[in-house]
Amino acid sequence: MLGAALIGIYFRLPVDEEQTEPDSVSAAPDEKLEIFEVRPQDPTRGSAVVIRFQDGTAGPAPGAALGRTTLDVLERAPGRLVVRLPSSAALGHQKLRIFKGEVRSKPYDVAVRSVDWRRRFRNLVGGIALVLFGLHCLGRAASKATGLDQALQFRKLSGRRGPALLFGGALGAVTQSAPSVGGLLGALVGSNVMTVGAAAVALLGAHLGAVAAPWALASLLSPSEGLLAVATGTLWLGFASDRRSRAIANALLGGGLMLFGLHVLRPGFEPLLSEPWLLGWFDALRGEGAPAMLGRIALGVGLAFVLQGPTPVLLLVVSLAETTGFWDFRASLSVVGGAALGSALGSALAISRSANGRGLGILTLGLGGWLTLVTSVGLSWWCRASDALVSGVPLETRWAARVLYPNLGQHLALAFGLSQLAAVLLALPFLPRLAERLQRRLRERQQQGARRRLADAAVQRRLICEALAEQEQVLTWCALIAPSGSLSLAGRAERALVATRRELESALTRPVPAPAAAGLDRLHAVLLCSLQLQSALEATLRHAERLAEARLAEADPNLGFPDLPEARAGVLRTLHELLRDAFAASIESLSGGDAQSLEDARAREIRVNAAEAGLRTDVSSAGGRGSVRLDLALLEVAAAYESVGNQLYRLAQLCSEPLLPEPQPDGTGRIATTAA
Amino acid sequence: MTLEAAASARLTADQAMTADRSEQAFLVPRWEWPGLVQHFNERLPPHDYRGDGENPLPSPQHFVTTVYFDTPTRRLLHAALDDGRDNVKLRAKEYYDVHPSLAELATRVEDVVHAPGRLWFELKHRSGVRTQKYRVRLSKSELWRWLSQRGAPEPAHYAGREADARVLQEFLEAEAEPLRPSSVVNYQRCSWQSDDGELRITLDTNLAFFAPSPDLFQRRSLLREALGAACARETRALLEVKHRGAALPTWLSARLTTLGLEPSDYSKFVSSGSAVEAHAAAAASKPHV
Repeated sequence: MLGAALIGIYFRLPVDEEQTEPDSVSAAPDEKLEIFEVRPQDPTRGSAVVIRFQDGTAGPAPGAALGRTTLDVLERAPGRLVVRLPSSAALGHQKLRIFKGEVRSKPYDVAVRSVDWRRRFRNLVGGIALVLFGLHCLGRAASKATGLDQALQFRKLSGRRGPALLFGGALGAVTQSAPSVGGLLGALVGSNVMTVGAAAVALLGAHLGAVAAPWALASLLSPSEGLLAVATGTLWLGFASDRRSRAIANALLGGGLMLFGLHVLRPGFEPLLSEPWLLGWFDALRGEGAPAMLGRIALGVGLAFVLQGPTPVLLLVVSLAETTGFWDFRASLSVVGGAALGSALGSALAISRSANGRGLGILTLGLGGWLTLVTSVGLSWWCRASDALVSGVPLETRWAARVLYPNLGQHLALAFGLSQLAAVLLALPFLPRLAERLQRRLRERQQQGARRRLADAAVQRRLICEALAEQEQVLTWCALIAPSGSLSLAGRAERALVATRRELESALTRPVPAPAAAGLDRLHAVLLCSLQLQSALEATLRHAERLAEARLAEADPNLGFPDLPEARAGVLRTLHELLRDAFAASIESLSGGDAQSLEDARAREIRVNAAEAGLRTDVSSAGGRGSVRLDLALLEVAAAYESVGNQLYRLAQLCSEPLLPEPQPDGTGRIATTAA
Repeated sequence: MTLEAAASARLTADQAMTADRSEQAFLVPRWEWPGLVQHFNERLPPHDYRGDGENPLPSPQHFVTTVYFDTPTRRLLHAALDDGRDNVKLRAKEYYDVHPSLAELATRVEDVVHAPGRLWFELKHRSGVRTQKYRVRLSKSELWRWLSQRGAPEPAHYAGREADARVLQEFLEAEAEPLRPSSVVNYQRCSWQSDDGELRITLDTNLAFFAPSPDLFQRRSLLREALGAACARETRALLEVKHRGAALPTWLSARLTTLGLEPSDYSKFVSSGSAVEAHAAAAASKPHV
């Protein structure tokens, strides 16, 4: 209700509409040329300037000059001129005149200033960041709002081509991330929930959905109205009481941030109008020749790969083109066309390299190339089709809100959408058969690669060891953070955990070598267990920080920070030592040492549980003496330690039997099955 | 010479070889258990079995399943009922430990339970407060073969003294009737023992009595959960004090006096045998539908 009221109020407020020409303009009383307004009055060199004037004379529209330099006219309209200042214009106060033949207006004083690079840079990076963050929020919100039951329904439908396309479209629209879509579809394929063919169709749909969803949102609201969406989202978030409401609020926030990011981004491109080195760089990509074309496509590929999807590229290019006009319609479209291949590259890297995943990865790359090819080859055709469907001329100049070519965005988006849709429709009939043939071929090749896969498994094992060593280091930092409250240590621990998680997750997407012997199955389980251990450590770090915060909150101005009672600090030390022992044992056994002693692991686990239980009893029996907040934080740290202990015990269970077949001395790479 | 007289003669002979030990039993109400446990913990070290099949893990909860053997006519039970202070019991004991703190992580029963799988086969003779035990340790299958065929196992197949095995074998040979499992008792046990071995205290709680199932010795372990429904339970704890000195330590006798605990003739063998008999009688008296 409040959100609706906010929007209602906004749309009822008067707008600062663009000043219309006064009647007197066309019927000037003194028959002279006269400038009555220049916007902006402090333009930068190379930027566009709008001049409003009265013209009492007959004949063609007037020209304009800054001092003695005649200016390029970008747009002529009755009573209005849009001109571009030369990039070499002198700085400071200058006289701007309009003229028609020998008739000249009185000079209008404008202050030409140099480019504020810091501001432009701020706008550029801040705008890009806002767009990406907004897209990220949108994706997360949509996935939070989607329940498992709905996802399962989608999955059931995905067996057929049409629903698979829709499923992919929804996925692309909600995640806005090519690697996320790739990873998810790869996982579905890897777990045999989806066929490679259906996943490839879904990937095509995801590409279309990713492009269409934000663009549809941007069409409903102008970028400057992003702040209204942010305000509405924030209001909604304040009153959201459940997960779905919060998701909707976050979607509003995400959409608003994305739009506002575009608004912020545009001024960042203005310097491109005047800087020779940038102009030269863009000029090199402007031509019609093959090198320029390939350069633009490569730029699109690179941008989409880095920005994880086609949408940010489309938004960037549209902003750039609308603001500067350096790239014409065709050139802009060829850059955006490269985005299909770039996002396919991102998806392919995220897809598991399992037997099925590899097929999907290759197919994804092929489809990305196909989409880019269709856009690039038919540039003229897509441009004409778009011009026919969208009103206005793409490069029609109309200065408003820093946008020089307001029609270009719609034309470009539609041309890109049409090209992608056509490419998808052309590919659809052949995709399932192509996927099947590819799979068959890959299976044949896979049977010849046992030795290489074995090496992969050894790599995974080494990686787990490194991750465990890093996790053990984090545990030590946690033990120091709790008593010291050191934020720098917490930062190091957090960074280490992020890096470790990334490594472990990437290892999990690598193939578990086939045929799956018992040891190799366990290696996969060890990877999963290491990730669970990772989560437990992340929780431990959070609780260690909270304990430090609790001590800070309970600090006495005279007595300083409250110390932990020695007995309780001792329990934490005991827990820490036991867990370090467990880490050491697992690392040793994974590094090629003997299988871990399960009895030792059990004994450690019992001691960890006993220490944690003892601490809980001690705190409970204290009868409310001391700080409840501190006690609670302490118990949470101990419980987190205990949870780490649980995962280490599970790891020990897995490491209590031989994990991995070693390569055979005869060099055949045969996989030695382990005794159960 | 009757069979019992022969066994008794052997027992008397072995008594000379083994140190005398007095044993007294007390029944402790439930509400006294925690205080008593704390009292013992403060004065005696807890006792854990050490040796073949020992449990290396800390903080175990000890459980015992005792299978009593008797003739089809329940001759041993009736003898014990007739004279509670002078009788003979033939039994097999399985000790196992449970670690509840591992339950959260357990994927198999073996992760939580430490059960060596071998039994103590014992002949216990009680005479007044004196008790004497003859026992060997062997597998269930070996015990079952021994009981069925009445042939003592080779020394390689059991752990313990040959003299004890001989006493057991002679007891079995002397018995005219076959000896079969007659009742089963399961309980949780806390033990304390002085360093010099002069005093040993056991507190048996949660006693439950079961009728033996036919496949008892085919099972891997005799966990309480595998014994079926209990015929009866004992709500009190059984405190047993075994000592080799002339009298109980002062701290112990003072505590027992404070609690008002009197020595009891309570016997797990008698209680379980009686419970199983009563249960069987009740089952037999139920009209068949």
